[in-house]
Amino acid sequence: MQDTNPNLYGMRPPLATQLADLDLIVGIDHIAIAVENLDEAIRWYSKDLGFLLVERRATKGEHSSMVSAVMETGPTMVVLLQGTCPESQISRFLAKFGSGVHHIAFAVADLDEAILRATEAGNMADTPIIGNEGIRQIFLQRDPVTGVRVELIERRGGSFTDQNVEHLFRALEEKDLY
Amino acid sequence: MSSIWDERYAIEDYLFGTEPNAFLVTQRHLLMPGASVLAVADGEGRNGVWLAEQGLRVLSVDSSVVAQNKARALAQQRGVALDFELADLLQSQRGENRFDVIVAIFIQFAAPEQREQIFAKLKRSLKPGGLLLLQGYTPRQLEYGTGGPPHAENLYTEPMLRGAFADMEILHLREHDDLVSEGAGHSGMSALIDLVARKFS
Repeated sequence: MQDTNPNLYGMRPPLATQLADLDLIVGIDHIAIAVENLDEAIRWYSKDLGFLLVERRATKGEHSSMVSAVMETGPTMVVLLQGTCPESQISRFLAKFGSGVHHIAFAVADLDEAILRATEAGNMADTPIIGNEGIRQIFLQRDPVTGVRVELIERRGGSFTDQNVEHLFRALEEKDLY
Repeated sequence: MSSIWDERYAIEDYLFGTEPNAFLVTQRHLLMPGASVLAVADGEGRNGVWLAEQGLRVLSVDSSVVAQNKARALAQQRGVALDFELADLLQSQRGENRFDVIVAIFIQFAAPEQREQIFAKLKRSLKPGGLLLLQGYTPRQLEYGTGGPPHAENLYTEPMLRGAFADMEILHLREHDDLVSEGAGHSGMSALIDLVARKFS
């Protein structure tokens, strides 16, 4: 097992490296991308890359909202996110970073174990575990090494639900995060 | 297994008639002989049989054995051959990139969540460049009451279909009111919406 404490140079290896070395990550579940225009993004991913639109949803938080689309090609999933008001965490992400990767969701076989390892290594969660029997998800703090927010997701036959997505959205909104 | 649809179809007449859907006929120029076509929720076969008559290779799928037996009889009467499959639209797997054309006429028995899953399955099973021909009712149909489900959420609007098929090239999308005469099941002035969309290749 790799030592997850700061190394000789005082640097912690990126979270993905730590979890992969522990065999906790079994793959990439999806990559979520913040976009300015959802329909244009759907068109680009489908027309130019061959993805298919399989789900669309509108998600409301306490005082902001977003729309999203799940795109798939074979086993590969991309989730496109667009804010629907300036206060939306997606709009704020876009204002700060521009269009691009909002988070990467790593598939894990055992979410509880993955969270334990992550937090032991100093990577704290930004949300509670959200989900049901079929799917459980959690957002970690934005990885300070790579600047990418990591989501850990454990699937046991489940798919995204409106409720899951809304709970995740509200959890970040409550903490004023994006 | 008997279903509510078996009960509905268990009459001597063809519930939705034996002539093809009028919107489908208007799209005849898109239907090339020899093309593979999936007719979903094809019921008593009025559309599947007509498609076979146009020279297409048809797979007619429906969940009602009663309807499918009537479809077989119609095919025999018209002297055409098509494949049949007894399957639930949500449960069945059609594979990927399989059909040149998918015909989905009045498949609005599905609530929004199921509808999204069904649309995704249909898109997957279309070949790149393949065509989806879809007709349904708009919510104003509830005022006409001349066919279709009594649930507004099951019905289509133009923005809804434009959003659901944003990953396809929409060749034709039109809401219109017209007289429909398709057996006792669909009869009278109706609020309709037609879609022709092509899967990007």
